Amino acid sequence: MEKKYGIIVFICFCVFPYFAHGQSIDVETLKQIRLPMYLAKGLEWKGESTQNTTWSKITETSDGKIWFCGGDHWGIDEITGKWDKSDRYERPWGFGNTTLCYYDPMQDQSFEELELNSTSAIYSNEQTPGHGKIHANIVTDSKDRLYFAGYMGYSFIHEYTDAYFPKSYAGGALIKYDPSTKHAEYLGIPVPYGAVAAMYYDEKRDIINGISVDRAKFWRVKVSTMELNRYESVARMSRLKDRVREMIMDNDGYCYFANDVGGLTKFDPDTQEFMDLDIVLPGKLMDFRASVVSSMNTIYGITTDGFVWSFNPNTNELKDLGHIIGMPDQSHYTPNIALDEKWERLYFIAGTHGYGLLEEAFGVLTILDLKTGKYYWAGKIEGFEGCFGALCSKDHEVYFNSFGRFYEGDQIQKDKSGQPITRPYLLKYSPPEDLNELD
Amino acid sequence: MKNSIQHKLVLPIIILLFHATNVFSQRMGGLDAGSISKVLISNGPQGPIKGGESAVTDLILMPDGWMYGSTKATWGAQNCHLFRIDGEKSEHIINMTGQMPGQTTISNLVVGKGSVLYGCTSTYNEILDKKDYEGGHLFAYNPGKKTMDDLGIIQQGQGINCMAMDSIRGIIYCITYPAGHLFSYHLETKIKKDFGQVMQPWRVEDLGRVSWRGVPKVLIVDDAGTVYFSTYVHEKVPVWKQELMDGGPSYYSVYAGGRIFRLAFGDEKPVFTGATIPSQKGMDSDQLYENGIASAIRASDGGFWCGTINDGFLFKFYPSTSTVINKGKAFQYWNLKSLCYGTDEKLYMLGGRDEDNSWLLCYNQVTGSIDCLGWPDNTSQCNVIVADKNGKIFFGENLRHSFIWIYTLNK
Repeated sequence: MEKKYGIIVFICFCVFPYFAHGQSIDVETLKQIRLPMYLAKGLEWKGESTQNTTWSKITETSDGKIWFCGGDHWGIDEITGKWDKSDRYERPWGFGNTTLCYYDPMQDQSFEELELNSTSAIYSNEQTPGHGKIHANIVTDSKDRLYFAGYMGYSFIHEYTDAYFPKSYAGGALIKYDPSTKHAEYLGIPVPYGAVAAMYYDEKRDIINGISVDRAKFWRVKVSTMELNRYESVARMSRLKDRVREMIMDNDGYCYFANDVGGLTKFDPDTQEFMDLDIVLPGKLMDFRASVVSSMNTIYGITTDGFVWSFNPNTNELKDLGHIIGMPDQSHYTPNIALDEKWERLYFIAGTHGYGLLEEAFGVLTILDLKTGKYYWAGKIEGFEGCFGALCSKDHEVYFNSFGRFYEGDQIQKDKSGQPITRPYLLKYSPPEDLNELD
Repeated sequence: MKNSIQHKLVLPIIILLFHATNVFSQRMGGLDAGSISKVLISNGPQGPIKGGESAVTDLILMPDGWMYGSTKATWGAQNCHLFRIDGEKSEHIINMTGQMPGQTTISNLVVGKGSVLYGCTSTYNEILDKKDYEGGHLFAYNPGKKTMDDLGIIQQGQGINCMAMDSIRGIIYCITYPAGHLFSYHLETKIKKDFGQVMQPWRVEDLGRVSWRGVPKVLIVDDAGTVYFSTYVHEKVPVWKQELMDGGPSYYSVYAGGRIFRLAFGDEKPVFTGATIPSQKGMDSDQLYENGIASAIRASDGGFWCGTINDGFLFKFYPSTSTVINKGKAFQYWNLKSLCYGTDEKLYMLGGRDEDNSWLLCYNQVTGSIDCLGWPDNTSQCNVIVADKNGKIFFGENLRHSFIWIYTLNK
């Protein structure tokens, strides 16, 4: 009798949190789904692509093209894929490089546009690392010009000095690129030796705002005058043990950073003053790992541990929109978010490579209906390993900048030795207008 | 039974290994993770210490067992504070700007007779540049009585960069900023005295931000009441004979830094001791590399351990003989900005650039070994370290939302 009682108590203890927080994911009933994949092209070596990762936020130009990227991820942290470090003596670009690509919906194909190392005048060689990825946002202005910057994995764990030149990573180079003329302008490196973790372009002021990965230093470059301002480590947030990866810029050019007291620090672009907002973000980490701003200037964000929130800068009203898989006690790393304003939805791929997550809910296409507050878990994406950028186009198609196993038709792509390989690609999701079709 | 125990142990071991790997991968370069804790000094938007007001400038262990700290306002914030911390919690003491409007920085703290805390104030470089600042104050805070006394302005329009206490004679010495004048203030008579400019500072604009370099950052006082500091002198370098031109100069005038000067008690003017701090030759006249003393602490043999600004050398200075002994450096960076003794009698040092990562370094006085122990966190940017009586080392951060990082030795 005592044993049975113990079992009942144990079961209640395990199950209660799931009921207590309302709607939560049922991992047992999740179906597998396969989405169209569009490869990041370029960087071929010995007849194969060397690319295996992508970490940037993505953007759409007025012609409907979706701009994303892929990289070989080479950096301090690791040499991913089947390659080893000795290849750097032979590869034309040494080690660490990235391509900017686009997906053209008219042709339903992806294309390579440029390669980042040579565009930024940083010639990586066997000793000097290049930009193994773009981590920050790829952004566009009203004239469809693109702005992006370089990154090298784990550059933040090592303190770079001129002492070890040329082994140092030079730093995240800023590029302004006009696809219509193919003209690339290298704008320099805002924080020497520091990779760029996040950035936005404030077109009204002609200023690029960004943060470095090492110590989360905030910087701004006025493009017309090339005036650079560097500020303190305002985005430092020590609850994240390694580094901060995100900042937000609203439609008025105000920038936001998660801070060490659990709220947001707001930067006024005109007075250049910082102010802590009297709000507390949800979750244990109280931060944001992805964000999107609506045309009405409402900020939507998701924390590193999976709490979705919205914030109105005009009223300072913060709303907790629930946990991405309905399990507030279960961290679920989701560094991507897309907004469909017309259909009033947020899209995510919940659970991705990185910070703590529920393994059974890895790579789940998730929809939050903002009208009802209801979450829909559409299924687990086949081949998926990670996604760090997403957007919803005007025609309601949703794009995820992802990496993972690549399918061509029903066949998984393999390398020359027959092993499945990881590739960066854009995933495209065509959602139903009626979400009840997903039930 | 044995099998059952083994099975029960497998999962915890896997979890432990996972976490150990995680910790290692996230904290490369860090001090032993198990021995670090932290206390937030900033209280957030509600205050009393708001964001931007918590950059710690100094820490000092007082006889009541509390560590007393000072802050400065950064990036447009307006208030600086005194606080205290016992290793677990932080308590706000006083908003110093509320007491002395316009003062946004407490730049230094010292302790005097009767366990009274003395401090000096300053403000932003941008305000000093506009020349509409009333001047930095000296103040006294009595922790026992919880009273604060404003001792007044030292030099009109000038902040105070650093201070030292001759507690035997009841005299505070301080250096003004940016003017670089050495002053004394007699606690009993309240008479202040200007010993003149000891450094003509460089005005530097770096990324649009103005600052002055070369102004002494540390004052040392020995038992005889002699004050020591490092500064620059003009040196004349003869022009090569083959480069001499008719009517042209016969020499170049260059700044030579790291010269240790002294002002003996009763003297009217500081004089060069003949001692020069360890320097990397060829950089000491560069405006971006201040060649001076960043930190000093009294040694048991009558000397002073000192750290240099631009090269990060540890050296010992013997006032009685004006001798400098270079002990080397533990890492490639400059700025050995704070020193303290651990309970293991080793000398602990804080190194790192002004607005960058900070490392804890260690010098074993017995073996002469000098080591870099790592950083408290890969985002920590600290200004000062102090040890308490229990062997804990406190790091004071100087960020918008600053922590005191607490490193427990021997764990």
